[in-house]
Amino acid sequence: MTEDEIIIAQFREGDQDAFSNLMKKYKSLIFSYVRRKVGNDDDADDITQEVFVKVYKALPNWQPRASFQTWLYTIARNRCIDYHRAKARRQFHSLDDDEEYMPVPPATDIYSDPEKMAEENELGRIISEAIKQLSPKQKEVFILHHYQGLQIKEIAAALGMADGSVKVHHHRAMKKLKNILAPLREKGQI
Amino acid sequence: MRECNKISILYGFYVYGDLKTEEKNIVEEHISRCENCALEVDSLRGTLQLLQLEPEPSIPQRFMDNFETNVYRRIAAEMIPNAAAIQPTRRRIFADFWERFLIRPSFLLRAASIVVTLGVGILIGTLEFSPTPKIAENPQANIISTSSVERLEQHFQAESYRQLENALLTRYVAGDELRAMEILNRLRDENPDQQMTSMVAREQSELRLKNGI
Repeated sequence: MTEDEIIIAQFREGDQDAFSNLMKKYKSLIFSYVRRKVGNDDDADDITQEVFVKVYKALPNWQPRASFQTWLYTIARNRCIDYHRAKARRQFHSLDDDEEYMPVPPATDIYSDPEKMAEENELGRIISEAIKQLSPKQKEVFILHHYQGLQIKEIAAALGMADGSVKVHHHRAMKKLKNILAPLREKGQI
Repeated sequence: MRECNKISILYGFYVYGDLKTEEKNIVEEHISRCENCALEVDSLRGTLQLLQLEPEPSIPQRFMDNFETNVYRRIAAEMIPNAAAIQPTRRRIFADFWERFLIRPSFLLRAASIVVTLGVGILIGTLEFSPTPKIAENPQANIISTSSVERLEQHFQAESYRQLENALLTRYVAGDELRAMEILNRLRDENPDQQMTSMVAREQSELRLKNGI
């Protein structure tokens, strides 16, 4: 039994603190993942809360087919997709109402607020711009691996793809980033 | 060349050191005899070093502080009718209390004795007045796991007791009776539990009598 499975068993036996422990353990990871997907702190906070509400309700019936962490990322990813869909729908309705048009990022776009990232620092901005140029699947795989630390099998489970596809998307992402960031390397930034 | 294409899909994970030993050996064996691929791997390694220089944006403190409370509030709003009003305020109350407490550390001993006394009192009260059958009388209770709603109710009840304890500490240890009254008022407004309501009312009437408030 993994550490998470032990905590989940405690929760199922009625230990409320066990759920608090799960939140403490994963809230920052999920928040930073969601923030990369939605591009701002407030929506990331809101979605991260929704993720844990969903986990709370689903946990009594959860079966450890994949790791708890992988399941968590799958829920977070789906919530981010819902968020972008809802945002696109709102945009569509406001167009109907002749309201001011604001461009909506595609469903899997990340860093929808590049100005904020520019404030963080220049390198962060350049890297985030580079990541924006990856295909949606390349981005997903790259973010889950590079930023969230998931391994090949975990990424495959979270995204519902084969291990081989994960390797291909990751390699293509790395190759593309290498080409985009090459001028920076040549300037002797590292 | 065909071999290069086949193996190159492993290079991304290879530079992170995230391949299984078997795959890692395949890559190393290949780049030891293929100059182009060795250069490609070097170049990817340089890209990784660059990516690792990117600082992770900090997590907002307000997110870290209020997260659990906000999640429980949302769960309660969804699962317990009219429970949205029951909002744990422990963190704010305790922050105020410890601020005072640190200014007056000589009260540590008194605080400890009050905590112990309260703990024993609450334990005895729970055992004596609990409406649910005791485990010894109901062996099934050990097997049947509590529902989500019951767990939440227990959580909020425990939270209320912690707040009552805090009100008493504020009154007796920190000596701030007005602040204690504020905490009790909030508890009265937020808590539907009958036993808790009567305990709060008793404390409030004592304070009102003493201070004429």
